[in-house]
Amino acid sequence: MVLFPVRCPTCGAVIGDKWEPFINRVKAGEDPKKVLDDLGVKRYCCRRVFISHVNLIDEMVMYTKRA
Amino acid sequence: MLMAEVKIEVVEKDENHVKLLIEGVGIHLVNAVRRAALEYVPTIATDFVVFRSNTSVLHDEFIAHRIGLIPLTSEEAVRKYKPPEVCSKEGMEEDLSCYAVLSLEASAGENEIKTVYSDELKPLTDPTVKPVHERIPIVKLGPNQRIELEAYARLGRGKEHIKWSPATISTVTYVPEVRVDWSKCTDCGECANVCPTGALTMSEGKLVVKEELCNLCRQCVQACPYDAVRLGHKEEKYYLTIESSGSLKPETIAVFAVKEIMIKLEDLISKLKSIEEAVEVGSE
Repeated sequence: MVLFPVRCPTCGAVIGDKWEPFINRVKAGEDPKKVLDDLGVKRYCCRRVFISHVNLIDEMVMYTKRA
Repeated sequence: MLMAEVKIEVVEKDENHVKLLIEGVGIHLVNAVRRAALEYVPTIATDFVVFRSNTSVLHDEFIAHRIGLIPLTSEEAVRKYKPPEVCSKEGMEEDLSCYAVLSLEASAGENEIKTVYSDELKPLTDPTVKPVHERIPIVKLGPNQRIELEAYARLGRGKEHIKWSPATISTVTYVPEVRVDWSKCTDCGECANVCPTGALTMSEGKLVVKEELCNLCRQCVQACPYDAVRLGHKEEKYYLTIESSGSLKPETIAVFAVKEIMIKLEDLISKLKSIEEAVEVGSE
């Protein structure tokens, strides 16, 4: 997705604020399963959003309109 | 018939979730509370967004949608603002007893990439209405990009749009009852082998039953070679679980859900009475 969603598309739980801690810890070498448990992401509808997300906005954020 | 005494016990509770054991109330009533928690309890959420400037790579609607889904603190707002039925009409936007306004202003520097978080959504008219979570990314700004907007929030109900629903999860479940026919049971352990939750276990060659762990999957019933296990549920005893999005406390959601049902019932009673009176007048 372009940006990490604010809510889980299936259950509506707020997950937007948990993406950055998740990806930072996983990049540091932690087990995604453990990190998600730690962050309190219980249901698999929310967990799949984390493990499948690609932040596509990073690819296009540099395309600034000329002033 | 005497009505059974209603009992409520808190089984689990933390910041945004509560599990209640409700006794002496029929499932139709507990289920009405469950549905009211999802659809009728009002919360405050962003209704529309006025963009002053947006040079980010995302279009206005995308950002407005994200802002709509950000839960706003509603604990005081639900008691203070006018109901959705009044405020959703056109021309109420300037009414401060209907709408709370929040503003967002952010820009990135010459060689900067900056993520704008929900804590930059600042209350303009009412300091009690602000985002519950501080670190939800709203948009990512590239060099020299800028965003400036005002978000208008009002009360609404989940049946209109899910962003106004205070509960993310609201369930009613049966309280399981595991009945073992001890005259048939031989303590063979077949049921304990297939039980995924540990409700049926073997201890020193004897079958041990922990009813509260059962999830009614019925695998033990199929596995038992002697037809000794029966599953059922307790009469008039249900678990009501409510998980909050953060806008209201879960216990507030339960109380407001019952209030919303009562408002509807009172309306229904007054309508029925008027019919009753009309019939009486007609028969004279």
